[in-house]
Amino acid sequence: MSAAKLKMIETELDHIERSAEECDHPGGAVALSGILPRSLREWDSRIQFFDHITSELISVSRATQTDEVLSTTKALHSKARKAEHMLNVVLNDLAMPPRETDASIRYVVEDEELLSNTLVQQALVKLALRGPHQIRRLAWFNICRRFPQPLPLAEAGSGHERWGGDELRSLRDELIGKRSSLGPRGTMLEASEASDGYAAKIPELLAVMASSPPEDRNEAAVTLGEIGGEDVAIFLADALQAQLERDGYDDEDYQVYLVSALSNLGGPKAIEGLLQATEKGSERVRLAALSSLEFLATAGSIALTEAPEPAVIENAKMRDAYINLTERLTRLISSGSTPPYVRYKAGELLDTLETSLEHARVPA
Amino acid sequence: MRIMFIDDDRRRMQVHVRELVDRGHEVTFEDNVDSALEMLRDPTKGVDLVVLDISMPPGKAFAFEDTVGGSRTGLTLYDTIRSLQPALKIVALTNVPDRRVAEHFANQDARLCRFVRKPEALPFQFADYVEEFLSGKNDADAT
Repeated sequence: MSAAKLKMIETELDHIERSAEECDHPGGAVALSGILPRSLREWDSRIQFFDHITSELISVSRATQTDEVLSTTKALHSKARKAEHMLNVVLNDLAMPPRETDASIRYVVEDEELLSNTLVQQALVKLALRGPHQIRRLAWFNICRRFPQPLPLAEAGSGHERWGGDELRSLRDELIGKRSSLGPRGTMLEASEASDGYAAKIPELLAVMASSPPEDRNEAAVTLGEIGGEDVAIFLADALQAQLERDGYDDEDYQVYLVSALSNLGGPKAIEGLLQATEKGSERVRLAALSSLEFLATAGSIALTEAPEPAVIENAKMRDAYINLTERLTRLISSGSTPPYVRYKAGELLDTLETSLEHARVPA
Repeated sequence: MRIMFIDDDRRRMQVHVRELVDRGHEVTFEDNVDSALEMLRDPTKGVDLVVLDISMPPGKAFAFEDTVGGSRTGLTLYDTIRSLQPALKIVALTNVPDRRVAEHFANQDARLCRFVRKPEALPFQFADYVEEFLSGKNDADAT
Protein backbone atom coordinates (compact mmCIF):
# COMPACT_ATOMS: atom_id res chain seq x y z
CA MET A 1 0.00 0.00 0.00
CA SER A 2 2.76 2.42 0.96
CA ALA A 3 4.81 1.50 -2.08
CA ALA A 4 1.86 2.09 -4.39
CA LYS A 5 1.13 5.47 -2.83
CA LEU A 6 4.75 6.53 -3.08
CA LYS A 7 4.89 5.39 -6.67
CA MET A 8 1.82 7.44 -7.52
CA ILE A 9 3.27 10.55 -5.90
CA GLU A 10 6.57 10.00 -7.69
CA THR A 11 4.76 9.70 -11.02
CA GLU A 12 2.88 12.95 -10.46
CA LEU A 13 6.02 14.83 -9.50
CA ASP A 14 7.98 13.37 -12.41
CA HIS A 15 5.28 14.61 -14.75
CA ILE A 16 5.65 18.15 -13.40
CA GLU A 17 9.41 17.94 -13.74
CA ARG A 18 9.25 16.65 -17.31
CA SER A 19 6.73 19.32 -18.27
CA ALA A 20 9.02 22.03 -16.94
CA GLU A 21 11.93 20.55 -18.91
CA GLU A 22 9.85 20.46 -22.11
CA CYS A 23 8.96 24.11 -21.68
CA ASP A 24 12.48 25.19 -20.78
CA HIS A 25 12.72 27.88 -23.47
CA PRO A 26 11.83 31.58 -23.86
CA GLY A 27 8.07 32.02 -23.66
CA GLY A 28 7.60 28.52 -22.22
CA ALA A 29 5.46 29.60 -19.25
CA VAL A 30 2.33 29.74 -21.40
CA ALA A 31 3.03 26.27 -22.79
CA LEU A 32 3.64 24.93 -19.28
CA SER A 33 0.32 26.27 -18.08
CA GLY A 34 -1.34 24.48 -20.99
CA ILE A 35 0.29 21.12 -20.27
CA LEU A 36 -0.32 20.99 -16.53
CA PRO A 37 -3.58 19.78 -14.99
CA ARG A 38 -5.99 22.48 -13.88
CA SER A 39 -5.25 21.79 -10.21
CA LEU A 40 -1.70 23.06 -10.67
CA ARG A 41 -2.34 26.14 -12.77
CA GLU A 42 -3.78 28.30 -10.07
CA TRP A 43 -2.53 29.17 -6.65
CA ASP A 44 -5.59 28.09 -4.59
CA SER A 45 -5.79 24.60 -6.01
CA ARG A 46 -2.03 24.22 -6.22
CA ILE A 47 -1.51 24.58 -2.47
CA GLN A 48 -4.19 21.97 -1.86
CA PHE A 49 -2.45 19.62 -4.27
CA PHE A 50 0.94 19.96 -2.57
CA ASP A 51 -0.46 19.98 0.96
CA HIS A 52 -2.16 16.69 0.14
CA ILE A 53 1.12 15.23 -1.13
CA THR A 54 2.90 16.35 2.04
CA SER A 55 0.22 14.75 4.24
CA GLU A 56 0.40 11.50 2.31
CA LEU A 57 4.19 11.35 2.50
CA ILE A 58 4.23 12.01 6.22
CA SER A 59 1.52 9.46 6.88
CA VAL A 60 3.39 6.80 4.85
CA SER A 61 6.68 7.54 6.59
CA ARG A 62 5.10 7.32 10.06
CA ALA A 63 3.35 4.06 9.22
CA THR A 64 6.41 2.37 7.74
CA GLN A 65 9.63 3.57 9.27
CA THR A 66 12.03 1.41 7.31
CA ASP A 67 15.20 3.03 5.99
CA GLU A 68 14.07 2.58 2.43
CA VAL A 69 10.67 4.16 2.96
CA LEU A 70 12.09 7.03 4.99
CA SER A 71 14.71 7.72 2.36
CA THR A 72 12.12 7.65 -0.42
CA THR A 73 9.66 9.90 1.42
CA LYS A 74 12.39 12.41 2.19
CA ALA A 75 13.43 12.51 -1.44
CA LEU A 76 9.84 12.90 -2.61
CA HIS A 77 9.14 15.56 0.02
CA SER A 78 12.10 17.55 -1.31
CA LYS A 79 11.01 17.01 -4.88
CA ALA A 80 7.49 18.20 -4.06
CA ARG A 81 8.74 21.37 -2.40
CA LYS A 82 10.99 22.05 -5.37
CA ALA A 83 8.11 21.59 -7.81
CA GLU A 84 5.76 23.74 -5.73
CA HIS A 85 8.16 26.64 -5.43
CA MET A 86 9.11 26.45 -9.09
CA LEU A 87 5.48 26.58 -10.16
CA ASN A 88 4.78 29.42 -7.73
CA VAL A 89 7.48 31.52 -9.37
CA VAL A 90 6.80 30.56 -12.99
CA LEU A 91 3.00 30.63 -12.83
CA ASN A 92 2.84 33.53 -10.39
CA ASP A 93 -0.57 35.21 -10.51
CA LEU A 94 -2.34 38.03 -8.73
CA ALA A 95 -4.19 35.62 -6.45
CA MET A 96 -0.96 34.48 -4.89
CA PRO A 97 -0.18 36.28 -1.61
CA PRO A 98 3.08 38.29 -1.75
CA ARG A 99 4.35 36.39 1.28
CA GLU A 100 4.12 33.11 -0.63
CA THR A 101 5.80 34.63 -3.69
CA ASP A 102 8.55 35.91 -1.41
CA ALA A 103 9.09 32.44 0.11
CA SER A 104 9.15 30.79 -3.31
CA ILE A 105 11.64 33.28 -4.74
CA ARG A 106 13.87 32.68 -1.72
CA TYR A 107 13.67 28.94 -2.32
CA VAL A 108 14.39 28.93 -6.06
CA VAL A 109 17.36 31.31 -5.89
CA GLU A 110 19.18 28.84 -3.62
CA ASP A 111 18.67 25.92 -6.02
CA GLU A 112 21.20 25.73 -8.86
CA GLU A 113 19.09 23.34 -10.89
CA LEU A 114 16.05 25.58 -10.78
CA LEU A 115 18.13 28.65 -11.55
CA SER A 116 19.46 27.05 -14.71
CA ASN A 117 15.91 26.70 -16.06
CA THR A 118 14.92 29.37 -18.59
CA LEU A 119 11.35 29.45 -17.29
CA VAL A 120 12.55 30.36 -13.82
CA GLN A 121 14.98 32.98 -15.11
CA GLN A 122 12.29 34.65 -17.19
CA ALA A 123 9.88 34.51 -14.29
CA LEU A 124 12.37 36.26 -12.02
CA VAL A 125 12.84 39.06 -14.56
CA LYS A 126 9.06 39.41 -14.87
CA LEU A 127 8.69 39.55 -11.09
CA ALA A 128 11.46 42.17 -10.90
CA LEU A 129 9.57 44.48 -13.24
CA ARG A 130 6.01 44.36 -11.91
CA GLY A 131 4.06 43.84 -8.74
CA PRO A 132 4.57 44.85 -5.10
CA HIS A 133 7.79 46.69 -4.36
CA GLN A 134 9.00 44.08 -1.86
CA ILE A 135 8.71 41.29 -4.46
CA ARG A 136 10.25 43.36 -7.26
CA ARG A 137 13.15 44.22 -5.02
CA LEU A 138 13.71 40.62 -3.89
CA ALA A 139 13.60 39.26 -7.45
CA TRP A 140 15.81 42.06 -8.75
CA PHE A 141 18.44 41.68 -6.03
CA ASN A 142 18.70 37.96 -6.63
CA ILE A 143 18.93 38.38 -10.40
CA CYS A 144 21.84 40.75 -9.81
CA ARG A 145 23.35 38.40 -7.25
CA ARG A 146 23.09 35.11 -9.10
CA PHE A 147 23.37 35.97 -12.79
CA PRO A 148 26.47 37.67 -14.17
CA GLN A 149 25.37 36.79 -17.71
CA PRO A 150 22.37 38.31 -19.54
CA LEU A 151 19.05 36.57 -18.91
CA PRO A 152 16.38 35.78 -21.49
CA LEU A 153 13.56 38.28 -21.23
CA ALA A 154 10.15 37.38 -19.91
CA GLU A 155 8.05 38.95 -22.61
CA ALA A 156 8.66 39.95 -26.17
CA GLY A 157 7.49 43.47 -26.85
CA SER A 158 8.54 44.67 -23.39
CA GLY A 159 10.29 47.53 -25.14
CA HIS A 160 13.78 46.67 -24.03
CA GLU A 161 14.85 45.33 -27.42
CA ARG A 162 15.11 48.82 -28.92
CA TRP A 163 17.61 49.92 -26.31
CA GLY A 164 21.17 49.52 -27.48
CA GLY A 165 24.19 51.63 -26.54
CA ASP A 166 23.54 54.40 -29.09
CA GLU A 167 19.86 54.72 -28.19
CA LEU A 168 20.71 54.89 -24.51
CA ARG A 169 23.34 57.58 -25.00
CA SER A 170 20.95 59.56 -27.15
CA LEU A 171 18.26 59.34 -24.45
CA ARG A 172 20.74 60.37 -21.80
CA ASP A 173 21.88 63.39 -23.84
CA GLU A 174 18.26 64.40 -24.22
CA LEU A 175 17.73 64.18 -20.48
CA ILE A 176 20.90 66.07 -19.59
CA GLY A 177 19.86 68.79 -22.04
CA LYS A 178 16.66 69.28 -20.06
CA ARG A 179 18.42 69.70 -16.74
CA SER A 180 19.24 73.14 -15.47
CA SER A 181 22.41 72.23 -13.60
CA LEU A 182 25.24 69.75 -13.87
CA GLY A 183 25.21 68.92 -10.17
CA PRO A 184 23.50 65.78 -8.89
CA ARG A 185 19.76 65.45 -9.39
CA GLY A 186 19.32 64.28 -5.80
CA THR A 187 20.84 65.33 -2.50
CA MET A 188 22.32 63.58 0.51
CA LEU A 189 18.91 63.55 2.17
CA GLU A 190 16.55 62.96 -0.71
CA ALA A 191 16.63 60.96 -3.90
CA SER A 192 15.72 62.80 -7.08
CA GLU A 193 12.18 62.83 -8.38
CA ALA A 194 11.52 60.51 -11.32
CA SER A 195 11.68 62.51 -14.56
CA ASP A 196 8.31 63.51 -15.93
CA GLY A 197 7.22 61.61 -18.99
CA TYR A 198 9.90 58.94 -18.74
CA ALA A 199 8.42 56.59 -16.12
CA ALA A 200 7.50 53.96 -18.71
CA LYS A 201 11.14 53.64 -19.71
CA ILE A 202 12.26 52.59 -16.22
CA PRO A 203 11.12 48.93 -16.42
CA GLU A 204 12.50 48.77 -19.96
CA LEU A 205 15.89 49.96 -18.80
CA LEU A 206 15.91 47.66 -15.77
CA ALA A 207 15.19 44.83 -18.20
CA VAL A 208 18.17 45.98 -20.26
CA MET A 209 20.32 45.80 -17.13
CA ALA A 210 19.16 42.21 -16.50
CA SER A 211 19.27 40.90 -20.04
CA SER A 212 21.74 42.77 -22.22
CA PRO A 213 25.48 42.60 -22.91
CA PRO A 214 27.75 44.48 -20.49
CA GLU A 215 28.21 47.64 -22.55
CA ASP A 216 24.44 48.17 -22.84
CA ARG A 217 23.92 47.22 -19.21
CA ASN A 218 26.42 49.87 -18.13
CA GLU A 219 24.79 52.53 -20.29
CA ALA A 220 21.35 51.58 -18.98
CA ALA A 221 22.53 52.07 -15.41
CA VAL A 222 23.84 55.56 -16.07
CA THR A 223 20.74 56.47 -18.07
CA LEU A 224 18.56 55.32 -15.18
CA GLY A 225 20.55 57.76 -13.07
CA GLU A 226 19.12 60.51 -15.27
CA ILE A 227 15.53 59.26 -15.19
CA GLY A 228 14.92 57.65 -11.88
CA GLY A 229 13.70 58.55 -8.45
CA GLU A 230 13.89 56.78 -5.12
CA ASP A 231 12.67 53.45 -6.45
CA VAL A 232 15.44 53.38 -9.04
CA ALA A 233 18.01 54.42 -6.41
CA ILE A 234 16.97 51.39 -4.35
CA PHE A 235 17.27 49.05 -7.32
CA LEU A 236 20.64 50.37 -8.43
CA ALA A 237 21.97 50.29 -4.85
CA ASP A 238 20.78 46.68 -4.64
CA ALA A 239 22.51 45.86 -7.94
CA LEU A 240 25.71 47.33 -6.55
CA GLN A 241 25.28 45.49 -3.25
CA ALA A 242 24.79 42.20 -5.12
CA GLN A 243 27.95 42.89 -7.11
CA LEU A 244 29.95 43.57 -3.95
CA GLU A 245 28.68 40.32 -2.38
CA ARG A 246 29.57 38.10 -5.29
CA ASP A 247 32.42 35.64 -4.83
CA GLY A 248 34.93 35.25 -7.60
CA TYR A 249 33.25 37.70 -9.90
CA ASP A 250 34.33 41.25 -10.18
CA ASP A 251 32.94 43.42 -12.95
CA GLU A 252 34.62 46.65 -11.97
CA ASP A 253 33.32 48.64 -14.93
CA TYR A 254 29.73 47.81 -14.09
CA GLN A 255 30.25 48.70 -10.44
CA VAL A 256 31.73 52.06 -11.40
CA TYR A 257 28.78 52.80 -13.68
CA LEU A 258 26.39 51.92 -10.85
CA VAL A 259 28.32 54.19 -8.50
CA SER A 260 28.07 56.99 -11.06
CA ALA A 261 24.31 56.54 -11.39
CA LEU A 262 23.85 56.55 -7.62
CA SER A 263 25.84 59.75 -7.30
CA ASN A 264 23.27 61.38 -9.56
CA LEU A 265 20.20 59.94 -7.86
CA GLY A 266 21.12 60.71 -4.26
CA GLY A 267 19.06 59.90 -1.16
CA PRO A 268 19.74 57.64 1.84
CA LYS A 269 19.69 54.40 -0.15
CA ALA A 270 22.19 55.72 -2.67
CA ILE A 271 24.40 57.00 0.14
CA GLU A 272 24.34 53.61 1.88
CA GLY A 273 25.14 51.87 -1.39
CA LEU A 274 28.08 54.18 -1.98
CA LEU A 275 29.36 53.68 1.56
CA GLN A 276 29.20 49.92 1.10
CA ALA A 277 31.24 50.36 -2.08
CA THR A 278 33.89 52.36 -0.22
CA GLU A 279 34.13 49.53 2.31
CA LYS A 280 33.92 46.43 0.12
CA GLY A 281 34.87 47.34 -3.45
CA SER A 282 38.17 47.17 -5.32
CA GLU A 283 40.41 50.22 -5.03
CA ARG A 284 39.04 51.71 -8.24
CA VAL A 285 35.46 51.22 -7.11
CA ARG A 286 36.18 52.62 -3.65
CA LEU A 287 37.72 55.76 -5.12
CA ALA A 288 34.78 56.19 -7.49
CA ALA A 289 32.40 55.84 -4.54
CA LEU A 290 34.33 58.43 -2.51
CA SER A 291 34.15 60.89 -5.42
CA SER A 292 30.44 60.23 -5.65
CA LEU A 293 29.93 60.87 -1.95
CA GLU A 294 31.85 64.11 -2.34
CA PHE A 295 29.68 65.02 -5.34
CA LEU A 296 26.55 64.61 -3.26
CA ALA A 297 27.89 66.10 -0.06
CA THR A 298 29.01 69.27 -1.83
CA ALA A 299 26.01 69.46 -4.19
CA GLY A 300 28.30 68.97 -7.14
CA SER A 301 30.41 72.05 -6.55
CA ILE A 302 33.40 70.17 -7.88
CA ALA A 303 31.81 70.23 -11.33
CA LEU A 304 32.01 73.98 -11.47
CA THR A 305 34.99 75.04 -9.43
CA GLU A 306 37.23 71.94 -9.54
CA ALA A 307 37.50 72.22 -5.80
CA PRO A 308 34.89 70.91 -3.42
CA GLU A 309 33.22 73.58 -1.40
CA PRO A 310 31.85 72.56 1.97
CA ALA A 311 28.07 72.50 1.92
CA VAL A 312 26.05 74.69 4.27
CA ILE A 313 24.24 72.62 6.90
CA GLU A 314 21.01 74.29 7.79
CA ASN A 315 18.91 71.72 9.59
CA ALA A 316 19.22 68.86 12.06
CA LYS A 317 18.45 66.15 9.53
CA MET A 318 21.27 67.29 7.27
CA ARG A 319 23.61 67.59 10.23
CA ASP A 320 22.81 64.01 11.32
CA ALA A 321 23.41 62.73 7.78
CA TYR A 322 26.79 64.43 7.69
CA ILE A 323 27.71 63.09 11.13
CA ASN A 324 26.81 59.57 10.01
CA LEU A 325 28.95 59.99 6.93
CA THR A 326 31.93 61.25 8.91
CA GLU A 327 31.64 58.29 11.29
CA ARG A 328 31.65 55.80 8.44
CA LEU A 329 34.60 57.52 6.79
CA THR A 330 36.50 57.55 10.07
CA ARG A 331 35.96 53.78 10.36
CA LEU A 332 37.10 53.35 6.77
CA ILE A 333 40.25 55.36 7.39
CA SER A 334 41.14 53.43 10.50
CA SER A 335 40.47 50.00 8.96
CA GLY A 336 43.61 48.00 8.28
CA SER A 337 42.21 46.69 5.02
CA THR A 338 41.72 50.10 3.43
CA PRO A 339 44.29 50.76 0.68
CA PRO A 340 46.55 53.76 1.41
CA TYR A 341 45.34 55.99 -1.42
CA VAL A 342 41.71 55.31 -0.53
CA ARG A 343 42.52 56.25 3.05
CA TYR A 344 44.08 59.50 1.80
CA LYS A 345 41.08 60.46 -0.34
CA ALA A 346 38.65 59.52 2.43
CA GLY A 347 40.63 61.83 4.70
CA GLU A 348 40.22 64.70 2.24
CA LEU A 349 36.48 64.16 2.09
CA LEU A 350 36.32 63.91 5.86
CA ASP A 351 38.04 67.32 6.13
CA THR A 352 35.41 68.86 3.83
CA LEU A 353 32.56 67.35 5.80
CA GLU A 354 34.01 68.43 9.12
CA THR A 355 34.32 71.98 7.82
CA SER A 356 30.61 71.90 6.99
CA LEU A 357 29.78 70.59 10.45
CA GLU A 358 31.98 73.19 12.13
CA HIS A 359 30.03 75.98 10.49
CA ALA A 360 26.64 74.34 10.82
CA ARG A 361 23.85 76.74 11.66
CA VAL A 362 22.09 74.10 13.75
CA PRO A 363 22.89 73.73 17.45
CA ALA A 364 24.53 70.40 18.24
CA MET B 1 9.17 22.52 26.69
CA ARG B 2 8.72 25.95 25.14
CA ILE B 3 9.84 26.14 21.56
CA MET B 4 9.79 29.15 19.26
CA PHE B 5 9.94 28.83 15.47
CA ILE B 6 11.20 31.85 13.55
CA ASP B 7 10.44 31.30 9.85
CA ASP B 8 8.68 33.40 7.22
CA ASP B 9 7.22 30.26 5.60
CA ARG B 10 4.46 29.61 8.12
CA ARG B 11 2.34 27.37 5.95
CA ARG B 12 5.02 24.84 5.11
CA MET B 13 6.39 24.70 8.64
CA GLN B 14 3.02 23.85 10.16
CA VAL B 15 3.73 20.11 9.88
CA HIS B 16 6.83 20.55 12.04
CA VAL B 17 4.93 22.68 14.54
CA ARG B 18 2.05 20.19 14.74
CA GLU B 19 4.42 17.32 15.39
CA LEU B 20 5.94 19.08 18.38
CA VAL B 21 2.58 20.27 19.70
CA ASP B 22 1.25 16.70 19.46
CA ARG B 23 4.15 15.63 21.68
CA GLY B 24 3.11 18.07 24.37
CA HIS B 25 5.44 20.97 23.71
CA GLU B 26 4.34 24.59 23.86
CA VAL B 27 5.16 26.00 20.44
CA THR B 28 4.99 29.59 19.23
CA PHE B 29 5.54 30.69 15.67
CA GLU B 30 6.96 34.05 14.70
CA ASP B 31 6.92 34.69 10.97
CA ASN B 32 9.03 37.81 11.07
CA VAL B 33 12.26 38.90 12.70
CA ASP B 34 10.83 41.95 14.46
CA SER B 35 8.09 40.14 16.40
CA ALA B 36 10.50 37.32 17.26
CA LEU B 37 13.02 39.72 18.76
CA GLU B 38 10.29 41.51 20.66
CA MET B 39 9.26 38.20 22.24
CA LEU B 40 12.85 37.21 23.01
CA ARG B 41 13.55 40.55 24.69
CA ASP B 42 10.53 40.14 26.97
CA PRO B 43 11.75 38.59 30.22
CA THR B 44 8.25 37.32 31.03
CA LYS B 45 8.19 35.14 27.94
CA GLY B 46 10.62 32.32 28.46
CA VAL B 47 11.69 30.01 25.66
CA ASP B 48 13.74 26.82 25.91
CA LEU B 49 14.67 26.44 22.28
CA VAL B 50 14.51 28.49 19.08
CA VAL B 51 14.21 26.97 15.61
CA LEU B 52 15.62 29.48 13.19
CA ASP B 53 15.29 29.88 9.43
CA ILE B 54 18.11 31.49 7.44
CA SER B 55 16.58 33.11 4.38
CA MET B 56 13.82 35.52 5.38
CA PRO B 57 13.08 39.24 5.18
CA PRO B 58 15.37 41.35 7.38
CA GLY B 59 12.46 43.31 8.84
CA LYS B 60 13.14 46.61 10.55
CA ALA B 61 15.70 45.06 12.87
CA PHE B 62 18.41 44.49 10.29
CA ALA B 63 19.67 46.34 7.25
CA PHE B 64 19.06 44.85 3.85
CA GLU B 65 22.79 45.21 3.13
CA ASP B 66 23.84 43.33 6.26
CA THR B 67 21.72 40.27 5.50
CA VAL B 68 22.60 39.82 1.80
CA GLY B 69 19.20 41.10 0.83
CA GLY B 70 17.49 38.89 3.38
CA SER B 71 19.17 35.73 2.07
CA ARG B 72 21.20 35.31 5.26
CA THR B 73 19.04 37.07 7.82
CA GLY B 74 19.24 34.02 10.08
CA LEU B 75 22.97 34.47 10.58
CA THR B 76 22.57 38.02 11.84
CA LEU B 77 19.54 36.99 13.87
CA TYR B 78 21.48 34.15 15.46
CA ASP B 79 24.16 36.57 16.68
CA THR B 80 21.53 38.94 18.06
CA ILE B 81 19.65 36.18 19.88
CA ARG B 82 22.91 34.83 21.28
CA SER B 83 23.74 38.26 22.68
CA LEU B 84 20.27 38.49 24.27
CA GLN B 85 20.19 34.95 25.65
CA PRO B 86 23.66 33.37 25.79
CA ALA B 87 22.41 30.02 27.12
CA LEU B 88 19.44 29.54 24.81
CA LYS B 89 19.47 26.43 22.61
CA ILE B 90 19.09 27.24 18.94
CA VAL B 91 18.58 25.00 15.92
CA ALA B 92 19.13 26.50 12.47
CA LEU B 93 16.70 24.73 10.12
CA THR B 94 17.10 25.73 6.50
CA ASN B 95 16.98 24.84 2.81
CA VAL B 96 20.01 27.00 2.07
CA PRO B 97 22.69 24.67 0.69
CA ASP B 98 25.57 27.16 1.03
CA ARG B 99 28.31 25.32 2.90
CA ARG B 100 29.44 28.57 4.53
CA VAL B 101 26.16 28.73 6.39
CA ALA B 102 26.66 25.19 7.67
CA GLU B 103 30.24 26.06 8.64
CA HIS B 104 29.08 29.13 10.51
CA PHE B 105 26.91 26.99 12.78
CA ALA B 106 29.40 24.15 12.99
CA ASN B 107 31.79 26.62 14.59
CA GLN B 108 29.35 27.38 17.41
CA ASP B 109 29.12 25.55 20.74
CA ALA B 110 27.35 22.31 19.88
CA ARG B 111 25.71 22.19 23.31
CA LEU B 112 23.81 25.34 22.37
CA CYS B 113 23.58 25.32 18.60
CA ARG B 114 22.75 22.80 15.91
CA PHE B 115 22.25 22.95 12.16
CA VAL B 116 19.73 20.86 10.22
CA ARG B 117 18.93 20.99 6.54
CA LYS B 118 15.18 20.82 5.89
CA PRO B 119 15.42 18.13 3.18
CA GLU B 120 17.28 15.83 5.56
CA ALA B 121 14.64 15.50 8.25
CA LEU B 122 10.99 14.64 8.03
CA PRO B 123 8.87 16.46 10.63
CA PHE B 124 8.74 13.61 13.14
CA GLN B 125 12.49 13.01 12.70
CA PHE B 126 13.09 16.70 13.35
CA ALA B 127 10.94 16.48 16.47
CA ASP B 128 13.03 13.52 17.70
CA TYR B 129 16.17 15.54 17.07
CA VAL B 130 14.84 18.57 18.93
CA GLU B 131 13.84 16.47 21.94
CA GLU B 132 17.25 14.86 22.06
CA PHE B 133 18.93 18.26 21.82
CA LEU B 134 16.74 19.67 24.57
CA SER B 135 17.50 16.72 26.83
CA GLY B 136 21.25 17.23 26.40
CA LYS B 137 21.63 13.45 26.13
CA ASN B 138 24.24 13.38 23.35
CA ASP B 139 26.04 16.64 24.05
CA ALA B 140 29.34 14.83 24.59
CA ASP B 141 29.13 13.28 21.10
CA ALA B 142 28.17 16.58 19.54
CA THR B 143 31.19 18.55 20.78
